[in-house]
Amino acid sequence: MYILSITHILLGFCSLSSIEFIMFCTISKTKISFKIYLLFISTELLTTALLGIPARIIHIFILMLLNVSLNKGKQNLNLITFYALYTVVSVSTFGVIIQSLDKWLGLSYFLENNIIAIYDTIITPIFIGIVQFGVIKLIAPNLEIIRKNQHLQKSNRLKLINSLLSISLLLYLLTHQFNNTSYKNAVNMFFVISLISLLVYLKNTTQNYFNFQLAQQKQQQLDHLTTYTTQIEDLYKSINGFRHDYANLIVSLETSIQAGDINQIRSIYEDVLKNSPNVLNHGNHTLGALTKIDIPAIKSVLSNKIILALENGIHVKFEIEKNWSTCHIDVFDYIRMLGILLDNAIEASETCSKAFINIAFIADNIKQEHRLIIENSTNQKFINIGHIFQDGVTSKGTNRGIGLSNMQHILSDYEQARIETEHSNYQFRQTLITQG
Amino acid sequence: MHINILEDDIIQQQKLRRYLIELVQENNWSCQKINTYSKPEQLSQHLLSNGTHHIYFLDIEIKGSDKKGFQVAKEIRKHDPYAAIIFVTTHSEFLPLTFQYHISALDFIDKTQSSNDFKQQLKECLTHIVEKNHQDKPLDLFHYNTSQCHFQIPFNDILFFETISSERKIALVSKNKRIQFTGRLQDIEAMDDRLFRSHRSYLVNINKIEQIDKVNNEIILHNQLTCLISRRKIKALRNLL
Repeated sequence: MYILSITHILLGFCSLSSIEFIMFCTISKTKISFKIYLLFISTELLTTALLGIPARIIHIFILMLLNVSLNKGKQNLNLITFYALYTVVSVSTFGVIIQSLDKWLGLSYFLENNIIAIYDTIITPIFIGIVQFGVIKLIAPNLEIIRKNQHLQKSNRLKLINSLLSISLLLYLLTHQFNNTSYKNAVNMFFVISLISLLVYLKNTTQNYFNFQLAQQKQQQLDHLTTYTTQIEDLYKSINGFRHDYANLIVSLETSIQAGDINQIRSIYEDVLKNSPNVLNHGNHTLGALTKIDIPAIKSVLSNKIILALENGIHVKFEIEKNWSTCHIDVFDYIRMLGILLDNAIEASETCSKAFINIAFIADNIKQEHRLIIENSTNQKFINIGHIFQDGVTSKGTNRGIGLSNMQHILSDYEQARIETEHSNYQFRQTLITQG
Repeated sequence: MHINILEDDIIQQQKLRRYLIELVQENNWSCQKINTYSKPEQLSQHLLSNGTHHIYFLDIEIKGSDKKGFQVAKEIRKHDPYAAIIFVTTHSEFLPLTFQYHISALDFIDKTQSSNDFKQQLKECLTHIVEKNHQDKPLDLFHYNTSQCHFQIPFNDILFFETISSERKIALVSKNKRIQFTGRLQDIEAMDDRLFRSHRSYLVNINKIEQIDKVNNEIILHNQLTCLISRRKIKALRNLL
């Protein structure tokens, strides 16, 4: 009988730990090997055996430590705390709720003792697992928003959620100091309510934040496209002007030819026609090629940055052969990376005497991949291309390094996107490759 | 080495031919023949019997033919991987990066520039080709082929491979290039004996090691680039060097 109850406790404990562990991996998107899983369960078991319920606090630190070491400290501290707190608190709370259910339902009156033990060790973890799965499904999009948004991670809202979770945990630990059942029930009720309201709050704030950002992005996109339209109109006007001049020239050429005045013909050619390539190949014509981009968000960012570069006296060329209608990954992630790359290119080239940026969109149908090449002039003879993607690496005090490390974060979400970097002869080239 | 010209405008064609003959004579280059074509079809017919290592000057826009210079260039590439392809065209048709990617086009020459500049650019192109043909020895290439990604790079350029974050992503860092791809370090380690696993997340080309910094547990490579080495691997690496 004694051995049986020990195995029951062990079994129940291991399954709870596993749920905790799996939950933690899912919400923090961490991949963990089986070895570490075993290690985790045994430490949890050991600490609980030694300290009892207060070991939960240590579990939080274990989870945080796991996250820091496996993700190489790439996640924000607030976020790490949130994941660990949420995992431990929600598993405990659901456990308490479900275990107190048997008292409310009066199960203990008509069930025998060992069946109650089975209820505690087998049914409870399964229930918790199902409930947790449902809850995570429900809040998954919000967790995704938090994970991707560094502003939100640093904001007070997440800190508030974290402190509420900590208070819940402390209360949970305190309840075990009392033996009064009615008090326990009241606290359990409080748990249910606080956890549900917390989840609602989490869902609401992140959703609001996301909507706000989306609206902001849309507005920005509209602004950029308006500027783009104005530029295109100017371009049209200048071409129209040229056409008008051109017609006049043909007429005067015709008269000169009829008169047989070779000097007149020569002077017209030298003066005007020879300069026509200058008019026709003016930098603004780069914008004309943007018509082949079918994704408004990308068109807006590219036009905005190209106009910015042209205003800074940088010679910009944009090559596109086929229409650009898909970017294989989330458009917002794509334009974030595009913005980082173009900002870096502008920043690096504007100080050069012969500043240029060449952009090319190449669709490779055989490999089924898209390549976006961004090439710029640079003053730097030596760039440590092995290190520029690392966190906090900057060159000349600019925020190039920060941008590129952000880019690395975005890329790590996608199997089908990667980047190639090249530097030689004062030319720096980044190629963003996406497959699909 | 033959020079082939594809240009539908007879005047331009002859102008280019004249310049080329002058340049070849001035510099004593060994050029057996200069062929001129005004239709892509004519050029395509000669491709098979022609051999390799030739030079091609192509116009992009050709009247009365559906086949553009671009398609012709692709055909040439298929038959002659060592061909030097140069486009002679008007500025508005320039797509240097695109053409460089698809057919490794060597250069673009703008038809509308002044004769002197035109000739100067021609000369630079030919000099480059002649120099390259002289030092044309087979390169020791490192090939990487998976469904996701394939590339080749001279083995001697490779400095090290490193894993990026906890994902299955790897970055290859070479003298002046960094390539990201999906893969596993142990698979690459097995591909060549000259690659040494110095650290859990680093695979280094032992030919490129300049120094081992025992204090910081780092390997110093070309251009002061560094990669990590774990303490217990230092001895093994010493023995290899």
